Amino acid sequence: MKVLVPEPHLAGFLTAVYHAYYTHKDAGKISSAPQAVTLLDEAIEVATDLRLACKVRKGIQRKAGVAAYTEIANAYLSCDDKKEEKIFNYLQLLFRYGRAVLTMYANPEVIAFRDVYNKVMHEVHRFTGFLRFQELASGVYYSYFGGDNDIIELLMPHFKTRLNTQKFILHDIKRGKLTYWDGAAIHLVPAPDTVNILLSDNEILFSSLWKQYHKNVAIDGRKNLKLQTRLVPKKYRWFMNEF
Amino acid sequence: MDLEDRIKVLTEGAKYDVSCSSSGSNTSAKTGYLGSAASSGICHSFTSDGRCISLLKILMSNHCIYDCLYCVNRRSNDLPRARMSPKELCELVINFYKRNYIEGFFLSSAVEGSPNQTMQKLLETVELLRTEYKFRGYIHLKAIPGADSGLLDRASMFVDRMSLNIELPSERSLKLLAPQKKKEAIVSPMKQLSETYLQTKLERPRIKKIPAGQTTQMIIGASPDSDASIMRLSQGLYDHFKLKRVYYSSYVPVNTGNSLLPMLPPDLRREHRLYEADFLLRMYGFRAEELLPEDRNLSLDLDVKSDWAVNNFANFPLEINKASYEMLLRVPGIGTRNAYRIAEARRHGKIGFDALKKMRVVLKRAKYFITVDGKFYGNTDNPERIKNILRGQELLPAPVRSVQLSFFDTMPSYISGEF
Ligand code: SF4
Repeated sequence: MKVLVPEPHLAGFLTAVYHAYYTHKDAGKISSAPQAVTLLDEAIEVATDLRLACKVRKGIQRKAGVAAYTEIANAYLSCDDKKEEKIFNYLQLLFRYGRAVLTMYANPEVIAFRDVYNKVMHEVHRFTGFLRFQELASGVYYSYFGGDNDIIELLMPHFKTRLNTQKFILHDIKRGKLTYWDGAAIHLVPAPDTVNILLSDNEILFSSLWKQYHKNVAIDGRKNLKLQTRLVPKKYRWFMNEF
Repeated sequence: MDLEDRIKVLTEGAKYDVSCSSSGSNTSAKTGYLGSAASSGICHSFTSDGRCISLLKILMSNHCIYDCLYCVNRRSNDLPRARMSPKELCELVINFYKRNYIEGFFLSSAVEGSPNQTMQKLLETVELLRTEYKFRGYIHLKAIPGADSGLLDRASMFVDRMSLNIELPSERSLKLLAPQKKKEAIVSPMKQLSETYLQTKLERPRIKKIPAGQTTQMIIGASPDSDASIMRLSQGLYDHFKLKRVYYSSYVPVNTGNSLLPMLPPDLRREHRLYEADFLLRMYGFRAEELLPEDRNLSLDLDVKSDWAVNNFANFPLEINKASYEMLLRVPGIGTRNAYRIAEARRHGKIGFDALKKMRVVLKRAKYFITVDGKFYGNTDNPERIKNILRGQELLPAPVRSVQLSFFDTMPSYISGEF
């Protein structure tokens, strides 16, 4: 099978979609995952072309609306190593049926795509609650975290709206990505290898009050750690100060 | 007492209040102000008993002039007492909020001095938080029964949601267990708040008073009221007072040695069933009279919707490709989301059994109540046998009178609203 191998970012993927429709109509799938190409396959590396990627984006928006494109872009942030194949399958339906694809809930390809998308958005929703900020001596609030999906850019708008009176930093330690709000604009930069932080005088006090509160509101007689673990998976606890 | 201990005492006194959800308000952010309220509630953490922490839930004071039998803070109890000042409360909220520990603030209080005096202090706190501290996050304020309506009205300018606890499901029980609380003192402010809320909704004034409406809470199992009378009360509250939620809180025997109160907490499955029934009223279009036509309790060993469906088996089976959305909602194993998706998806072509499986319809329940393209997939259409099969699938183990609630494992069904 002919496999299109894009660069591992959204523009790369969309370029490959373009080629799958125009230059390599016989391509069987799109994937940048190393294990997706077997010895029997023919891999074709695709160089990213922003102009072509843009054409595809506009095509999606014209066919199924702006929101449909946003869903696809968000789904692409997933850690699922079959995401490119699943999104591509969905896109083929989208280009064929247009907006109708949005409500084809019983279609297996649509279900597979929605699963990828929902997982990303579920993690975003969780992280809007689970992220913790520490007040630094400089008055800036700093948050470090790292989840399954690459969602730092989806988290930023939420916190920018909510905490617009304070300067803050979001730091995805797992991916080495850092974004900050300086009170006027958002900046996205590669994270430095090490970050030294100096906490404010208040930080220890409020952090310990929160830990105490977290413990106090539990009803001892009803302890259920299994349920708690399902609701706050262990994999997230390293960046939550109450655990 | 130092701050840390006071916070401890005052959260201890507030933690049995279950109305924690922060949803229902959608306050956009504003430059120069801190915070926003998301319309779908956000959980910031979960306790070791698996409950969502969304709001900082605390009492302003646990000094109380009243002596309600079922309450830890009653006057005649000997326990550490504390209070916090409006400023201390504001500092705590702001600092928790800025660190993203919480979604907002749930402020309540025991009745210190008099209802008016207490309400005045609560008002002072929320006003300070909104004006001086420029806080725009979510605030839920518990109103004090018996306080002046003017205070209530002023407070409603500063908060997203207000609530009065109806406490007990009947006037008789209230007289018995909370003799100093008069039914009128609870009901008339609820009425006032329902008018305030309607005004905000219909007239869209510049100052939006309680945009997230009002809720209430009642204690289950401290009095002999039946589930049928409880659900009819809830139905009435939703119909007439436009309540957003009614919360049910299993009685916790905090005070011993009183013959008017049961010694043991109620079977906790009961609270669970009441929440299921409540969901069916609010999201599924059921009426209390349909669910419980006679004066009885909900069955403990079968979920409310399945119980209704087998008792009304003449309505079934429904053809998945034809039944209305409203009827799909009544099928056990199909939740609101799947009812909607089925209704949408079938416009693009017939839905088969495999597709339903992929859509994660709970077919082991639903199959007794539906046909798929004319075909029935259940192994029996005898309602009594179906009832037994569904009982066998029941997730809540029985009986749970002890406080070890391993069954809470299955609780999120009513939290997510899919059952
Ligand atoms: S008024 Fe409230 S705090 Fe006081 S005893 Fe009654 S329930 Fe408890």
